[in-house]
Amino acid sequence: MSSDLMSAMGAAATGLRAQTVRIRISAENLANADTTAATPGGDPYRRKAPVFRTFYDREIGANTVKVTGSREDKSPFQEKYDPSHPAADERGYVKTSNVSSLIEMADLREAQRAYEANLNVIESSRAMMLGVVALLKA
Amino acid sequence: MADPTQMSVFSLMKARLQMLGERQKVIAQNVANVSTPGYVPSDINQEAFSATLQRMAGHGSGAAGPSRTAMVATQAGHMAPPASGGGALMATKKSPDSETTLDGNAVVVEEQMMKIAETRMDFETMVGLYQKSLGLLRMASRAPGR
Amino acid sequence: MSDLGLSAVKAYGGVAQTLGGMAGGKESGGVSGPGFGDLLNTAVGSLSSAGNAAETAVTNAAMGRGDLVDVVTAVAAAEATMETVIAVRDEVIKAYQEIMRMPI
Repeated sequence: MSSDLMSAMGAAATGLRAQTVRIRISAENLANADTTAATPGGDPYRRKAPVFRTFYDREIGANTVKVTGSREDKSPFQEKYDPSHPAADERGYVKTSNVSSLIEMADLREAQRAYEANLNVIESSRAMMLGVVALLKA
Repeated sequence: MADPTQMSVFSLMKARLQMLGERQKVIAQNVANVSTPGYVPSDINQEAFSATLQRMAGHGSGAAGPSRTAMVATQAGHMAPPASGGGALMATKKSPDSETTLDGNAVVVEEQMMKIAETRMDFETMVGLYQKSLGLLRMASRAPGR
Repeated sequence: MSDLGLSAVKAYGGVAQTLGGMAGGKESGGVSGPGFGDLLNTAVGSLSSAGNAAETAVTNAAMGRGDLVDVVTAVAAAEATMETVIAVRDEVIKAYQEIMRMPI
């Protein structure tokens, strides 16, 4: 039986999945936040960001979302003066990853909120459907 | 005789329930796309819906409610629309929230959550009223003394 | 016609015809308002159409077609209609029986 409420739950489910991927990518960024390059003068870990895309799903009957992949954050690396470091270049500078722990934590919190909002949609849609079915019981 | 489907009050309640169901779907789409660049949230066009209700109420009992617009394949290669007729029922309009991020996304989670709460409350009220109205109908048909 | 009320409708149809003949129905000039036959006919008609509506709605649900709100409201409405109509039918029959008991 088709139902807008079921479509709502379907859309929210894709939202949950997408936010989960976003959280995983953030976790990966955080884990690599303090890395440096393997070779002298080389590039350290580059921050990744999820790519969100919306598309209409015929089966679900709603505009859903999907993380189609990740892209690299093109912002510049931090440079630290440390000539004795194995990854130091000819000027004595070491490049560290362009991940900011503060920004990443803030992004994680936002992803968490978005995840909970999708859960809220599923729960309220479910309750509404049960309410309709209850019309048959009295 | 005493057929709720022929009574305008029941048709009105049912139309409202259908609108709210569709609103829930639209909001769900907005929330799912809270991180999608360029996504502008939609909402049901309440003015258009009120106009539809007025028309229904004006036509008295048995007025047909809004019917689902069938999805039509615009090109030969497209698949047929689902048998259950999933066309949009109510007019929607773009309704950006109070903030737009740099990437063009205009969804604010908290504002959408407010709409969910509103929709759910309205829906459960309507279901309760529908239930009550049926009960009143049944009460009226009971024989005296029973 | 649906299986739901087929045999019942046949029986009521028979009673309605009998009542229509006895109570005078539309032809009698002295009777104001509908005769028992008309009343029962209307009741039986509503009963079978309500039953049909319910059966269609439930069939759609079983086939996975239709919208939840449409199906549930159709069935709930049919139930209310049937209850009302059955009550009217019962009263009409009771009234008729009382009249038949009256000594002429």
